[in-house]
Amino acid sequence: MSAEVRSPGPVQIEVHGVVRREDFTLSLDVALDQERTAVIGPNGVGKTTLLRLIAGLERLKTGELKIDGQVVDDGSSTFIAAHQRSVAVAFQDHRLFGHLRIIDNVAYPLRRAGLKRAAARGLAADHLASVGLSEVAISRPAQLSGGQRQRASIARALATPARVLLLDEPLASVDDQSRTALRDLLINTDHRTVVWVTHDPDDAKFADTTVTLPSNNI
Amino acid sequence: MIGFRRAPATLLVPATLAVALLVVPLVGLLQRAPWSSLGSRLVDDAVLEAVRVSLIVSFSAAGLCLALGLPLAWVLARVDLPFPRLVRAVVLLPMVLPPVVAGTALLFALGRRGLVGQWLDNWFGVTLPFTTAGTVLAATFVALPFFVTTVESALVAQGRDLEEAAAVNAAGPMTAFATVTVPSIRGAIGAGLALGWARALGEFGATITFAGSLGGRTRTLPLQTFLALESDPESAVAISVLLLAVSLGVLIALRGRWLTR
Repeated sequence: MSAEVRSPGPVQIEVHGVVRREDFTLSLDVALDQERTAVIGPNGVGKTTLLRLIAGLERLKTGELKIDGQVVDDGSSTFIAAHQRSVAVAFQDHRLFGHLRIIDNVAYPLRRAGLKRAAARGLAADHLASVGLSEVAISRPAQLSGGQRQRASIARALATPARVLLLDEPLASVDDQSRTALRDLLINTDHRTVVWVTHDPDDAKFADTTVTLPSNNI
Repeated sequence: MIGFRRAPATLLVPATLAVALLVVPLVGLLQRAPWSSLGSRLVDDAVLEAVRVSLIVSFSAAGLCLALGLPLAWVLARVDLPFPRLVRAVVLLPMVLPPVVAGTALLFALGRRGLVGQWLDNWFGVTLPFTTAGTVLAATFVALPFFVTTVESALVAQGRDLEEAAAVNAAGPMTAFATVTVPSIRGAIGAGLALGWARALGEFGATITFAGSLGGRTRTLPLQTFLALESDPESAVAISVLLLAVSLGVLIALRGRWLTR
């Protein structure tokens, strides 16, 4: 789908605050206001942490995180949980559900969105076809190669009906032949906003803007 | 790994003695078993009644382990509890507590004049000691930690990755628990249930202290065995062989988890 049809424009994401763990303090001051943003920077500066904050998998110690103007995390009482944020994620590791067939892994977010099993499977089959995995639809994750698992995980993220798609180096373990086609799929997804953490300059080239971390690391 | 012949004798000899200590009593039991009349002894009315009570009690205890222990294992594995070591110690305590102490404790807590038991009696007319329900509670008390530790270990080993993946796929906490967490550790849940059930089936001390030995109500197979030792030792041996076979069956069913390394 083209950028013109994606309405009502990009999701505004603003993170100003501090994340603190036992061995790690990270200060973030980032505003994402484009449809396609690449996040780059050396290892350990908090790129994945930024995605986890936006997804609701991690909390701010202090500060504020807004998505489309709504405060979803203020470091204390306000915290909108991950499942209520309308944010999809393709993780660096595939995180497929081992007890489900590949097609049911991809159908999982569609079922959560209220689709009946048959309808969800139909849409999931389309997404699997788009990543070239139709032939393994009824296999279990353990029967797939590492690259196939990663492609299935991308198909699941693409199938998730959400306003934001977060990508944590999803093409790192994908072979060169598939990479270009998958990159096109991720760039042209229906999600209003894509935030893509990457080390690959070719991934970053397609972004409307590039954010370099650290923004203000302590 | 080194070959059997190259293992030092100073370790091999005590190791062999340890195996002998475990095996000799079982051989003694099997050698005394009345093989020709085993079947008829096991279909004796009193034994069949004990089998019925044991099946009701052990499966009810396993069911309670699942209903209460699965949430408890999840809380232990996933929630930042205050005083986590103390909580874990309390959960594990029945594994090391003498069962007769467990029975005494249950009596003072749930007996008709006990801490909770007096209210159960006054408000609901419920009396637990010397009832089948009391026997189930005693069995659950001793079996629960076996189930909880097995499931908790699996949850800790699995980590939160899959639950996070479920959350960003719009699954709320309970949906994630039911559709991802539970199915992905179903092997451990099965193993925990088998262990808990076997422990409940073999329970003696807490049961006789809290629930007594009433035929058809609280007299389980171990209690029937103890009673028969006085009057009909061959029947006691026959029931023991049955319980030994069931225990071995549980171990064999769990072979992938416990008998390999």
